[in-house]
Amino acid sequence: MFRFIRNIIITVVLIVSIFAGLFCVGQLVPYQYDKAYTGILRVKYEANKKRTEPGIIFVGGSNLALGLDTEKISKTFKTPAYNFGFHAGLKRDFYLNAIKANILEGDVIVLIFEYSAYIEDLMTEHVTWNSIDNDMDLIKCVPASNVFNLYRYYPIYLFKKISDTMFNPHPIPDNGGYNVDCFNEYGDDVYERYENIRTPEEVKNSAYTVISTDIMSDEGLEALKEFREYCESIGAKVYASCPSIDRLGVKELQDNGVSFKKRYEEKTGIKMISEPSDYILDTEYFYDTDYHLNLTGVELRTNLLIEDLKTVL
Amino acid sequence: MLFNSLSYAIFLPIVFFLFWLSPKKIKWMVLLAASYYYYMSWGIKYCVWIILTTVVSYLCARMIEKRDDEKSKKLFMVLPIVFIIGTLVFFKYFNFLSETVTSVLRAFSLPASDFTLKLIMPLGISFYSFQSVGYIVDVYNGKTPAQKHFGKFALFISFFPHVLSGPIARANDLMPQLEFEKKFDFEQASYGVRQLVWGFYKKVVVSGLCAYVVNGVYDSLEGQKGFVLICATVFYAFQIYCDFSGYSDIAIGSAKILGIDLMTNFKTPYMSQSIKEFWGRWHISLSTWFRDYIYIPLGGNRKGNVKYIFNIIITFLVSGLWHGAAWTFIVWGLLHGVLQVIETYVYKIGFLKRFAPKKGEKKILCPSGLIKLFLTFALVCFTWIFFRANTFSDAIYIVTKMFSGIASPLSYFKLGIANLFHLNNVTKLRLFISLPVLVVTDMIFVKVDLYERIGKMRAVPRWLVYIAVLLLLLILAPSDSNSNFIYFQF
Repeated sequence: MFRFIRNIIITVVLIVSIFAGLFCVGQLVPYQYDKAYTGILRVKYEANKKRTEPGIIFVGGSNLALGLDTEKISKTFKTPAYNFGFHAGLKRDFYLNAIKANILEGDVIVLIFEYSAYIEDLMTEHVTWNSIDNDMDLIKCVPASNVFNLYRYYPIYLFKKISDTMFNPHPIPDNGGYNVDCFNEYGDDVYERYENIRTPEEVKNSAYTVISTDIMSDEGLEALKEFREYCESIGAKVYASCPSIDRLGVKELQDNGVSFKKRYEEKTGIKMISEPSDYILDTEYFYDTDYHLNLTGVELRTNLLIEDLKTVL
Repeated sequence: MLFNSLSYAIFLPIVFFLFWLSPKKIKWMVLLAASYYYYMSWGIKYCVWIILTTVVSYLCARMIEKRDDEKSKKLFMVLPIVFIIGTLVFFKYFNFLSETVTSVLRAFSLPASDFTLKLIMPLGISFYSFQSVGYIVDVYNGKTPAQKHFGKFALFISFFPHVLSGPIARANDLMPQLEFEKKFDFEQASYGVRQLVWGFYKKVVVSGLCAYVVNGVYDSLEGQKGFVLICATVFYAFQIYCDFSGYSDIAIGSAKILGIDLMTNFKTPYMSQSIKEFWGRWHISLSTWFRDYIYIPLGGNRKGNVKYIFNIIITFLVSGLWHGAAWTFIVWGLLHGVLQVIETYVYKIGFLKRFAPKKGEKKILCPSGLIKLFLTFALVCFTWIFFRANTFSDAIYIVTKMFSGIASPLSYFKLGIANLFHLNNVTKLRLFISLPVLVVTDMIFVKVDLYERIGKMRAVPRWLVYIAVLLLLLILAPSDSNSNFIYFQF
């Protein structure tokens, strides 16, 4: 039996060593995606870390990155504001860990996650590595539940990274608003976009968003509650708002979002300053997904959010 | 606690150590406790039926053995079978029967109101019910002695690797092993680990990846037509094979680590050259159960052609019904029965006689072998349409639309493939690496027991194989695939 157990242990050690070795090799290969959209995460992370004055921080996925005029909000409330929105694929717990790097007394954190973030917390591997690789601070933000899946994917990512290093270093994608240069100093993507590039049929055919109490897991709500307690222990306030979403992309809306909001507030202790139904907008305000707004949509959504923020600030 | 979950990865090693470190006398207790813990992890409420089935089967088998007169023996055989099958029918088919009766009455304009119950089917009931029935019949026929030790009998029914989805064990095969005479066998345990890992590869990698393609088509059929439907069905053939044979490999491998040999359940079924051979290689523990407890008692092929056809059709109809209370499953079973009958008689026609499958060594890589293999696979895939379709009308839709547009073959194939793969590049890459690996491995398995062969290799190549398979498993497995096993629903 000793030989059997020894062999099992050797196998496990060998496999772990291979993945660890590949990861170390990967850290020696320079980061390649600093010009791409994914490169903005480290810019935003560093910007947040450097903050010395308290302000309003918006945290969430790309519904924020391509959906907010943070400068207008900053000027309205005469306080610093920053858009920490990036990509829904990194999911809720990663953002909660990342923003914890610098929370100041007096900060107002506004959580605005896509509805998918309430269902599960599985990070999209390729986007995640594209954004966090070669940055140990960001790598440390990966929640424990995602470590196994992320590292399983590393060899595939590394292969792509090495081939990019050799044949297409530091790619600058020309894909309509998805690179670092499109962002302003407030963290907003200001790429000029004025219309929905999807047809209503395309949106309808891929409608998947359900807004109901069923989409909220107890673990997810518990994580948000812990985050609120952490922030309050520092002296920061936490609120939640709703992502703007294309009306045609909503598959189901349970009693106008009232139950969703009620359960969220009850379980997390975080006040939701907005009504989900107010942020379900017409398709003309969107750009290329259910959550990405065009600049007309950004203006409308920002105004809605300002009104909501006025109730608490 | 799914086999492919972290909790099972913790559970199995704990059971392994407790089992091998405990003295022989209490080994059954360790496994029984582990088995009930495993079963209860799905919900304590499910335990009622498994305990009841165990108690009834145990007592009646003992009574069969104690009684001398044939009448009493028969009574103690029939009573528990009626109870066990009655329970199974109630949980599995009550609503189906009720709905069918209602719709028939309505078809004749007779008054009928909907009457269905909210039933929660106990997990694994189809499997442990059949195992109990097989045991009672075997005791009645004198093929196996009644187990006197209640704890060991309870373990026979509830042994955790097979309780939810088989393999359906036979008493004369498993019961003697529950005396735990064997000491730890390195070769057996290593063989078990190899089988377990390969089972994971099949389930987590191949089945998980195929599910993306299949669900994308079968769950949104509107507007789908042509080659895409055929491709999705072929992928489903691989999905269900890998899902269920993967499950079986994990179950058998887990048992082997504990020194127990469970029945082989799959033997590369898609390498079959006839439908009959397919059923000798697919879900063997169930098909042999049907053979031994339904087909042969009905008379098998010994009572003339008409009776033979009747027996085959009945056996496959029951097999279809066993898989689920829906018309799609019934048609699936019926199709297999009809195909097997046709096949039997086709090979009796003059010049076709020489193409009849022969027992003994298989020749795959010859023109006639390949044609038979392809034909069998195509027919099996056709039947899978009914097995997978969400409704009977969906299945009919697929059958009627799958050749739509074939008049212009180039665009038929091109469009079909284009419509099929709305997947990201990484998933496509994973799919096109993992499937060929599976097919090649299965082709090798036809000739040799690869688990054994790898065990006999020299250290360096053996370890290279271990590492390569584990890396493939870890790198190719999708992270967000559906982790449930298809056969859990049956």
